[in-house]
Order: sequence, then structure tokens, then C-alpha cells
Amino acid sequence: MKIALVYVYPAVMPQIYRPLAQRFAASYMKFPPGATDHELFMVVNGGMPSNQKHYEHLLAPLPVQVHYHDNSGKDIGAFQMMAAELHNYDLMVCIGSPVQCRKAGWLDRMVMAYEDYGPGLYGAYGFHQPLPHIRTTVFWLPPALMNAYGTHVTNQYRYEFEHGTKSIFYFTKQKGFVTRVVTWDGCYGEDEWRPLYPHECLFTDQHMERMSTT
Amino acid sequence: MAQLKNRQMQIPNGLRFLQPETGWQSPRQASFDVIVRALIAHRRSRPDLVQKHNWSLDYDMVAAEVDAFNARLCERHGWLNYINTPNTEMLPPPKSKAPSLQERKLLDAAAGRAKKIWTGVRTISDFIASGAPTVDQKLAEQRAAICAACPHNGKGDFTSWFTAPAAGAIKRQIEAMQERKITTSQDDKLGTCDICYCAMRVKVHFPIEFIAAHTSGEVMDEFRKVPHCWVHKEIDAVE
Repeated sequence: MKIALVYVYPAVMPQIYRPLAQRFAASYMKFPPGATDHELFMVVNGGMPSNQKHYEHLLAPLPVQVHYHDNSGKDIGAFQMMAAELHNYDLMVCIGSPVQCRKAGWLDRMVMAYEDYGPGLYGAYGFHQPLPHIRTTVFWLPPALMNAYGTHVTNQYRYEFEHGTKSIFYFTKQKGFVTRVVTWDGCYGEDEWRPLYPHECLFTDQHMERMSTT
Repeated sequence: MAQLKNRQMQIPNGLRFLQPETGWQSPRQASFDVIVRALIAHRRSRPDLVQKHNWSLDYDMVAAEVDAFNARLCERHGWLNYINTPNTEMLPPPKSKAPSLQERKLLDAAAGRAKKIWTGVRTISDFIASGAPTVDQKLAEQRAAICAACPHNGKGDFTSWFTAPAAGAIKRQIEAMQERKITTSQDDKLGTCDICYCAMRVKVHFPIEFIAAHTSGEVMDEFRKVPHCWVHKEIDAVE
């Protein structure tokens, strides 16, 4: 299986996002993905190729292939652009900037779930409100599915893509593919979703961070 | 009669209610509870119609009405995943399956190996970044000769040992060392140690204090099982 991990780095506010990128790299090395081979991509959202060297070293010593996006559609716009680039990959893991790995072997677990349930939309978190959706801070799907989503995601459309009536979640279901939340202990369809304990989650994102500090 | 499977779960386009006699509609994208309470408030504002149509103001009764309204809507649209109905003959989606004990063991083993690999990568990275001096060439050559003849000296390209990012990071570290002209005559024979998963071409140049500080007890125990290994011999000599 050919797998791409795509991390988005919003270059528009480096004072906020540079430490987050470095934190992601540190968490990747402390809690590595496992034995599953993969390639690592970083989309610089709103940055200039003239700073290529700087961006290449942002996640050092992780070797990343740097791509550029104009920040339209924010992180989802970047993932959409990358899905087109990665059309010959089997699986694309979309990772938002605030994400941290929290236990080693997470990619092995993702792939195990994918092999058990088949192609579709998977994520680390799922919610029923305002409409059922997989949270897009970390989600994975075949790039072909992302490419089949017919709407170009703009800044205004970014949240519609995640949790609106025309979300990637509903799109995936309509096409007959699975939509599942994957934890260390299970792989849940929407009728089984419930609030997760931090130790169950594959990742920590900004919402989880907030929870664990309140 | 169809009922919602889960009142906490939104249906496509959101839960809703229409009071046909007044044309009142529930707020958009509201929760089930908010809709019920808003409907009760609306009815209270029209006591004449409450009496005329025998509207209920009881929470449970109104909740049942809202439930039935949305369940009918789901039934009409074919959103059968959201409702329980005696007419539903669809197969339920498969329930979650927890990884088996064997799968967990495999996951843990792979994770343990990956952690070891990345600990090695971070160690080498820290060393290169520190700019600290390497050991003298004579000692590096001695170590390299031992490793070159060692059965734990794993052969093959890094990509056969590591995931692509780990192999890429190690290659980059070797290049950084080569830029500093830090090599031995054995470089072509040195591969990856299958105990610590370190690239030996790089590691033979490290001061033993640095190696000692970055080697876990578990890995050190494995080194000690190899009588000719220079790592545990040098560490023991220092201690």
C-alpha cells in the first residue's frame, strides 16, 4: 500500500505555526508511526518557494517533500491540492498543524482498520453535532475519494466540507464507502460514536489539548 | 411507527419541526432538546390554539411528537440509518471490532522497534547539531573493524531496514558527517546494527560518554550478549 502523510504548515503566521510544526516533528519521532512504510509531505500554505531550504528543515531531521499552496480553502484546500498530486497513492493521511502523535504505532493502527473495513473516510474523532462528521484535524482516505469530491473548497466552504450538509462525510456515505472513527481499541461507525478518553485517541489535537487542560 | 435511533444524533440537514397550524418552524441546526423546549414555548404563547387543537405542553409528549416528525422525514428520504422501523430490512453496519490480542502484540512490537529506530535518529541528530568533537580516527577505525566483522552488522540499503522517512533522515545524517570528512576505511562494509538500529558508519565516531547517555538499559543488555562488541566494553572501561 502506497501511503502519504500530508502535514499542513500555514506559513501565514509562522510565530504560531512554526512551534506547532516542530512539536509535531518531535512527537512523530517520540511516538513514530510504526512499521508501515510511508512518505512524508508538507504543504506550505501561503509560503514562497524562495524559502524552500527553511521549510525543508522545519520538521528536521524528518525528511519532507515540500509542496506549496496559496492558502485558499485553508488546510482543506491544501489537502485537496495534494490529493490531485497523490492520485497514484492508496491512502492519504491529512494532518492539521496542531496535531501531535501520542503513542507509537499509529499508522500501523490506521492501516489495520483500513484493511479491516475497506476504503472510505476515517478519522481520529467523530461528532454528531451540528451534523454527523469526522473531524478534519486528522483524517485519512484514498486520494481518489478526495478527488471525486466535486466542490473546490474555498475559505467560505471549509467548514461546509467538514460538517455541513455537503460534507466529505456525507459524500463518502452517499458513494457507499465507510465512515469510521479509529481508536486504539476500536473502529466505530457513527451509531457507536461517543466521547473518547484521551488514552483511546490516536492523536492529540487542539480540542483534546483544551479538554486535558480544563 | 418509526422512531429516531438516537435523539442526540442529527439527521441530514438537521433535526427540525413544523407546527402546521401556525407555520412555526424550529430553529435551524438546533439540538433535539432545544427544539422540544422551543416548541413548548411557542405553544404556551398560543393558549387559544392549545385548547382548540389539544396540543400537549408536557415535555415527554412533545418530545415524542418531535421524534415522530423527524423519523417520518427520515423514512420518506430513505435515511434509514437514523431510525428504528419494523419495515427496515437493511443490514446494520458492522460493529466495531477491537484489535485481537495477537494484533495488539504485533502493533506493540512494531511500535517498539520504530521507537528504537527514532531514538537512534534523534541521538545522531543531537550529536551532529551539538558540533561536539568525534573520537580520534584510530579509535573509530578500531570500532569500525569490529563492526564490519560482526554478525549484527545488518547489510542492505537503509530502505530495507527503515520506513522511508527514517531511511531519509539517516542518509542525511551520513551526508552531514561526510561533509565534515568524518569517515573510516570500513565505511563500505558498515550497515545497520540490528541491536540498536543505528547506522554504524556514523556511530563509530561518537564519544562513548554520548553513546552511554543515549542507550537504554534494554539495548545495553542486548549489547552485553555480544562478547566482541566495543560498545559495552568501552562503557564498562569508563565506569
